[in-house]
Amino acid sequence: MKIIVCIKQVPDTNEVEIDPVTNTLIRTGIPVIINPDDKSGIEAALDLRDKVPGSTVTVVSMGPPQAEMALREALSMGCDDAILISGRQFGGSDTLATSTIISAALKKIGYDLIITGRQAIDGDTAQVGPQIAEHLGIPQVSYVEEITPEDGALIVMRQYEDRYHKIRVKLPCLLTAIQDLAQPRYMTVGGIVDTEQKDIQILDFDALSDFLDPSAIGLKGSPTNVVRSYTKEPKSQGAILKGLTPDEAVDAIMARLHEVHLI
Amino acid sequence: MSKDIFVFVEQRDAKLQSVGYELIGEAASLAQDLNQQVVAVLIGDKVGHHAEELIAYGADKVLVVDDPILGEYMTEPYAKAMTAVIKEKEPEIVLFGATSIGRDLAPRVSARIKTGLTADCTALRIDPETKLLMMTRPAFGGNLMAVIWCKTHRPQMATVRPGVMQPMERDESRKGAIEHVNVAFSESDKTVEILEVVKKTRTAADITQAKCLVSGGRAMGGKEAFGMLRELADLLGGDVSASRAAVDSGWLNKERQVGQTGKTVRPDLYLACGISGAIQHVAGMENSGTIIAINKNDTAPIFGVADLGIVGDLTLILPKLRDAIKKAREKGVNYTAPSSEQYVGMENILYHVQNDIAYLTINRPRQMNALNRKTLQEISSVADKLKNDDSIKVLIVRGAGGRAFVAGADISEMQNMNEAEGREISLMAQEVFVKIKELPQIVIAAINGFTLGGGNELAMACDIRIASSRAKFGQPEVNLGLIPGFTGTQRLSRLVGSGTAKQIIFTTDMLSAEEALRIGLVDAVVPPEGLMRTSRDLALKIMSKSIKAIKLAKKSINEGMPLEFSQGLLVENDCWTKCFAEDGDGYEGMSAFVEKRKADFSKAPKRV
Repeated sequence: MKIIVCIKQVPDTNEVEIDPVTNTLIRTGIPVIINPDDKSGIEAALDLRDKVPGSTVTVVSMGPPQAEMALREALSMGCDDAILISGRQFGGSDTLATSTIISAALKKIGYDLIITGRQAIDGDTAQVGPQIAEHLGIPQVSYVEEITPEDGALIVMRQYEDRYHKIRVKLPCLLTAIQDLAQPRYMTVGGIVDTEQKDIQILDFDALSDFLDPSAIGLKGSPTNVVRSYTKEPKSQGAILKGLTPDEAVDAIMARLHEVHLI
Repeated sequence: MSKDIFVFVEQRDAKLQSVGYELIGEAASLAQDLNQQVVAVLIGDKVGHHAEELIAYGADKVLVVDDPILGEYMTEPYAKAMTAVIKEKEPEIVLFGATSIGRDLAPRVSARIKTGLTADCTALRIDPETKLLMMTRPAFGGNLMAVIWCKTHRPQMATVRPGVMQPMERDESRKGAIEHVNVAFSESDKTVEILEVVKKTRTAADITQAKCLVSGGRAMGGKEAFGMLRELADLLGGDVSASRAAVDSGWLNKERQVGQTGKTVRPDLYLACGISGAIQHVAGMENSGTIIAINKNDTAPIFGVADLGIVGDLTLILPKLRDAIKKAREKGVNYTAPSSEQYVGMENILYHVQNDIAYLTINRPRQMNALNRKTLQEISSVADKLKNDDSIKVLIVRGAGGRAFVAGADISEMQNMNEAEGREISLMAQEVFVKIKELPQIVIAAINGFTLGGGNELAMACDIRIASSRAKFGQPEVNLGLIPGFTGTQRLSRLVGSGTAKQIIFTTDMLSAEEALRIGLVDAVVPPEGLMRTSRDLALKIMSKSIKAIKLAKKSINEGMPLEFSQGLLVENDCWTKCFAEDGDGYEGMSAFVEKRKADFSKAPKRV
């Protein structure tokens, strides 16, 4: 089974801070990591490789040349090879254009199973995975938290707010992983050393031109654009109520709960 | 040509999910701006009987796709149904709930149609010039808000976060059309096979996913007391968490600990009970939507991050709170805040003071804050209280709920009035609005939405009007066979000139915020999300000056305006003279200027 894991290098949003003076996002010096959902996807893929003899795990990322670091980390975890989709024509792509580019690369590489993270912590869109599946015309199962291999198919647990679906899906297909899917392993020293020897294949626009319509990618090929962005208003101090009777206190709380539509 | 706003109405087990009603409510507001219709798309197995309910909640039309294959959610059959509807009807806008179904379906459909999709929006509006949908969404873990549009592709699609938008009030008299759409399904549409459906019972605790957390600290006193928190959490559809002190005491498991060494949570509501709020705890919960804290100790640091802090005894408050929530759940009781020194709540308005600025919020969002007799009485009583309150310098007047400042007078209340009653309500409203105008405080109207009829008259009673770019203004009375009678004919003509005032009143045409600014009906227009910040900044700026001088300036302008010029000059001279009086601020202000230091008007002026 040829397993592809799509990963994204993202800023660690827990470390994002707002400049208290300018009220803007401090963009420099934020550590970058492999998106957490994607990392669970890598782990699940490696686990499947162990269970299904003859499988390989290829990790794919689209991004600037620096995203190579995330791919090296994935190789050190044990992935077989790594591919970086990178080119200036790809810059400014929204989710639809991004999924168009990645699906072109996947057509070129070939696949039996594609795993993506459910969503990236910088954009939180959860859109690129299902859009790739649509471009490739294969079934998708999103919010997956358990995968069991079967002959030519997978049994997966799909999470909803109030239920699970136990689903059989035939290969080829695309799954989006949530963090509960697997606890990622650490890089090993051996893995890190081996990784040094490995080449990361780079796919640029020319390499994918047979599969790509230039008008459907990049800033110009993106249906959606950011008009502007702003940081949220800093939180101001609320009302502190003293000397209320318990009944008055309850009324004050109930009024607030009502205001925020909780009752 | 694409038109109308479509809403994907989510159902599970043939039960409609509340996000559908919320989206219809929001779509209705957008549809008004576009002069288009709201179309609900109901997809499922034997769900057609819900169509009338969707109309009662504001859908102009319901499209039903009903087929056994659509029972339990599967991506492909739903994507096929939604695509068929979109291709046949060519909507302008399509909205989905950002649920685990909506976020699976919407991207699949967007890629099939080849149009843009914006995820997890928290605000939507129509740009008045381009008529494009402006979609606002959080990014970078909520640290940044981005406004996104989809200029050339149609439909414009968005998933919208559940719980953010407001449904309309259910009204069975609403009329709408119901249409069944036939989609031909085949076995090959089942690209996956559902082997089993497992309903969730309460699984291992994951407090980071809870929409509401009831959290306990050391002051809860013991393990037993957490039973009460569990009851509250269940009633609110949330979960229980704790501070480190409570976890270390063995009252709750470590997996439920909030804070630096526990979990970082971001629920819509965080109810902190007996938590002092050490910095390590605050780091784990400060980004929660609404924080309510109850603590005996009024210096507890938790109050520094709370939206609402109650200083009081938990053991007395929590059981009563539980009963009140139970009652509200059963009967849908409307709650308003109580009266106290700092926080006066009444039936239809909220009044509170924050950082020395007073806020008067007209709080009937479901009725677009329409003014009825009770509301006018409550505004009047706040004005009476403020008249003699020297500690308050600025009052901000606003409307609750995001759609309207005040959309007018309550017509249903006036419908059957006779001549005498008509005269009486006008006299009463005039008196209230004159009281507002004559307040010693500086009054700022923060105008967020529809400001019509009595609403516009209330806004004009304020000293300064700041409008959101989304606000709309008008005097629609003549449509109802009435005239503006809450000061409108007099104030509007004095504010914008009699010709413009007549045009507004005679045509009833609504004005955009920009037009209102052009004719001087409002004094500034700001983006919707900056409205309260701008109003507050303006208040703080005013408060940093000599408030005595500012009040005298207000008095001079207000009292001089209706007079003949030379008479007005006498009023001015009188007010100017008071600046030089013993208790005037003139001496301190001018001395500071001469001495090249910053004036301090807070101290009582001293003359050497």
